[in-house]
Amino acid sequence: MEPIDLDRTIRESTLEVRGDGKAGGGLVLAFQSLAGLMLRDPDVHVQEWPFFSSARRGANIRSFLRISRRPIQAACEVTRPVMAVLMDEGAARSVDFAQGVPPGGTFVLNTRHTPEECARHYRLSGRVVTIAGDAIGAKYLKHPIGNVSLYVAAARAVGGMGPEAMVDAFLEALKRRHVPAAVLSRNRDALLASAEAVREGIHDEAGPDDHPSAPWEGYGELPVGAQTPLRLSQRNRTADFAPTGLRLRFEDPKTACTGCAHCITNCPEGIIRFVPDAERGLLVTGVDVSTFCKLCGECIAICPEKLFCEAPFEEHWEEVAAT
Amino acid sequence: MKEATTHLAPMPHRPTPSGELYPTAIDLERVRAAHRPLYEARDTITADGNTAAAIATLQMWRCILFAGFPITPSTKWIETVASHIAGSGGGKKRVKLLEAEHAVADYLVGAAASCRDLIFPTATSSVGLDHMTETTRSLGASGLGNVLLIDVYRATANYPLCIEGDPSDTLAHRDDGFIQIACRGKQQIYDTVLQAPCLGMHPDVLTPTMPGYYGIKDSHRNARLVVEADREIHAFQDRWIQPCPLPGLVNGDTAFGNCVTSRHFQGFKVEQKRRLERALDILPKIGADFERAFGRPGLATFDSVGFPEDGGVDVAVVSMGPDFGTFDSRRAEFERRYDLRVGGIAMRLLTPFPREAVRRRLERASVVLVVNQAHHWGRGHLTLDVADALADLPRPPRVVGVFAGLGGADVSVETWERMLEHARGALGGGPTPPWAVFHEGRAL
Amino acid sequence: MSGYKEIALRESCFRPGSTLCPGCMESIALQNVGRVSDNGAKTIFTLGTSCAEVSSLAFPNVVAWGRGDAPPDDYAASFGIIHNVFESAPTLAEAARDVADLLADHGAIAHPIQVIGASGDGGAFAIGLRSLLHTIYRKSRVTLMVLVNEIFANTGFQYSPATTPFAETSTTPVGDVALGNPRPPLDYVHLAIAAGAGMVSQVSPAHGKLFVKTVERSLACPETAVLYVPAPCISGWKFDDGETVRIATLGAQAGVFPAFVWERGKGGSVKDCSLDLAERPPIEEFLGAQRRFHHLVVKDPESGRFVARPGREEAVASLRSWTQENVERLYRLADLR
Repeated sequence: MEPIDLDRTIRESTLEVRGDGKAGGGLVLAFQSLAGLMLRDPDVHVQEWPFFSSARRGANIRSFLRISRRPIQAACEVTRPVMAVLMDEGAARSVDFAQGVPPGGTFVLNTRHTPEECARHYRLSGRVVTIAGDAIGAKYLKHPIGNVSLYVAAARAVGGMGPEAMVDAFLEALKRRHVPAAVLSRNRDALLASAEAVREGIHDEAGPDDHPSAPWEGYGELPVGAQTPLRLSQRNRTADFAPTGLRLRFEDPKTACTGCAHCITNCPEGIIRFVPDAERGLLVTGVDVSTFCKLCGECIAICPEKLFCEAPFEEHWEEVAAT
Repeated sequence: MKEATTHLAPMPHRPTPSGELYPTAIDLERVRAAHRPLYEARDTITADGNTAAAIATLQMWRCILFAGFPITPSTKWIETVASHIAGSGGGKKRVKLLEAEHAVADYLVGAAASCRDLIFPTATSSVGLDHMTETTRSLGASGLGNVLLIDVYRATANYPLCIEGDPSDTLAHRDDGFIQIACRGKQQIYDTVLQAPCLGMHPDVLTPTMPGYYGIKDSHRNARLVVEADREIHAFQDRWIQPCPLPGLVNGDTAFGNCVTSRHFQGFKVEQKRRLERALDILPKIGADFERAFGRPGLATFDSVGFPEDGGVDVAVVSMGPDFGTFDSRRAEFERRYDLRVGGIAMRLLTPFPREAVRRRLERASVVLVVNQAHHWGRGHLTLDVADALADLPRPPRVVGVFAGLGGADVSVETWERMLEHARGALGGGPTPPWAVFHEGRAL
Repeated sequence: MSGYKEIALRESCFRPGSTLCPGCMESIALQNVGRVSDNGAKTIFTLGTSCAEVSSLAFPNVVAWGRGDAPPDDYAASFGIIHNVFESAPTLAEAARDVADLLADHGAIAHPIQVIGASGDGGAFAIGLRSLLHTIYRKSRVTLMVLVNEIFANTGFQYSPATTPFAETSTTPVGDVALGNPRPPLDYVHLAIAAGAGMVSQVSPAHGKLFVKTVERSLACPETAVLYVPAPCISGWKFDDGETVRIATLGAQAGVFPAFVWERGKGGSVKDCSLDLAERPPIEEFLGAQRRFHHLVVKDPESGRFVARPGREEAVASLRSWTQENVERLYRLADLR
């Protein structure tokens, strides 16, 4: 497995990049900034677009980017990118971010894990670039947002641009969004810190059957006029909308729940579990956190007994890899 | 309230691709029994086109709710219906007056989805149909074949403004998804309104229908109309209209109007096209059954005159609406005068366009003269469809496209003569312009 | 009247699995309306195009509606929902009501059916004002909910006729010469009363017991019941997680969208919002919690309270006096019979 030379790809054909993330996580801004950075070279052409959908905050989204020294004519979707970007590891729970990437491709991940750990977990063969962007975001931007760092890691992976250009291109994208000067300054610090935090390695962990391009299998039987049965939502795991790495926790060791029912009636998903209780009317026993809880925090805010909280949640990689 | 109903016995239900259906939730026999017949036996009356359409809808037991907006009184359809129901001849049937044509179309969606076994009619015209457009497009794809939208053909809002009869409105709605059937003459209007729901509600079709007829020339001219006994109409319709295989809002557990992404949208459009195409096979069968039941020609893709057994004619005229009658009344004379064999078809099924049937009818014509009566950017709606139908013949007839009668302008005998001369010019192989407009015997 | 806790025990027809934003007030409102409507009558719901619609009615994955998880033998637990176009929810609801009534009149159905229509404020007050007012005018026996998030949230947070003055939206941006939305909202409460509604209320689930009770009364109303639900939008109003219910409470108490319940023939009342400005929470606290008002207020580092930004004192005063007019107006409307 020989890593594919991205600069040569840009010179001789087209570098296709695909990114996965969650809505509200800054993926689109990172891709727009990357496109802006590439366009600083007057001989380079780009095509940048997000997948258009009605995705709300926390839902999976995708962004695409083509970079070439030739005018870009292709309009079709990117399905075999040479470079795949993962903005949010939570997004990789429902899609294979490396799908269709050929051996030797480049993988850029916002993660606190090492390139080697990522290569093993996601079964990647090629250049693996990682950055712990959420921590940098938390430090400089008071918010665990990794798009600044991921942009830096992706720009470095593509190469060809100096650090000043890298900083300027991102700040310009922010300025177009009317971001105040103080925030721009904090972003500059985050950009500079990110440049020092990129890790990289060449790994060969993908088997021949990993990350196949999914063939289209037809439309199947479609109901007339898209009129459907109800209660299909059980397939929609909206728990993935929750910030990655956190989950709601309910603890009531002393049975302090007063049965006030405010958490039940103010839960947007209607997933608070309870049992009838002779004394209180009802007794809250927990929440279905693994399937539907988006961790909006309303129950945390409203419970008079403070029985709900946000708690760290980590997926055990070895387990996942084994299944 | 909750406690009061828990003792109810479980209601039978069965799954469908669109959700649970409770077949016994609505006792349609009660609706049928409440129908008060307008005619106990066949009768002959005098009526204009709007009255013919109104009588037909009033005679169906499945029509119990008549929605409309005042543009429809300009067609007199809802006024006729309202007057009948106000006189209590309609029993429990109700007229529903809404604030806009758009609201009427929305209302039809809600009503038709609520009960898929009843027929929900309205009538509109011209800008009224245009105002409904947002919803006629969703209706066309909805699977709600129990919507019956009667359109009185008029010019659309198109500077300078004109509200007289031409089929611009219906032809501007070719892609809404409706089955569009043109009528000429009061009898055909009456008969078509009775048959259209049989086609639209067929389980293989499930597509709303838009029967239509020319404003003024047909809507407001009186002539003899044979009306059938309600009993016979019900017997005919009940042979074709079976309980809808899909649930409605009242008798189902179901979701209408879902959004899809591009991943599925195209698949739904393919299915919609297939349903529309299946109407081509089912329509003649309904027409034949109607003819057996009532002794008059039923639904057909077109009316045909003057073709010999082998189909060979010098000039075949393709047109629609009442002006075709002017041509037909003079056809024999034209043949004599010009020493030509002249046939003609008056289109009935506009959408889906009956490509195969039109090709079989016209393939042995030398010249096909297509007379368009609606504004079109180019050679005319019908011209393009006819040319397309004939295109892959080894020796296709020459297609000559003309316009006449725009905005309801009179199409006189002289105009027909002049158009036939124009077509005759093409017989010798000489050049013809891509389109020409004729009026009062002159090319404009 | 059912108790608040009893309602909490019921089965909502709004299921988990919608793709609405975390903490969406529309979702909370639909959960509760879904529970209250679990009353033994069959429910038919009509939805206008809105966030609530695109995030809950989608093929093939998200259809976040229906009662229970198993195919029900109980017809009362069956459910029908329909979306047509942006402005059509009231008209569709009226049509379903009429068909159900007509079938009942024929003796063709035996079971009671209740009909609820839901639109957003863009759908109800802008493109759909015609359908909203005319369904009310015809006194159709339906409950019309309007989820008022004060913007066209579904299409990118543009101004709607319900936007609070000075709010920044994507079509009323703040710039050197513009301070956000320049005009007060359409008086939609009065419009519904004037059009002939049997019941008009403005209340969010933040006032939980009142909300549940109001929904119950709306469903029982013999004429059109209009329920305006102030719906703070976490993405469009730009506030922090877990703040939805607090901001809904604050906005109501501060006089931006006071809780109001009115019934024809009986009159009504403003709840939990004093006529006296001094007794209400300062408007700055409401503004400060949302970045759509970032140009008006700033947190005073010493007191920790929000105060007008230097140079924006006049705008904040103007907004404050608008809330006073707003509260006085609702108090006057409450006196109507």
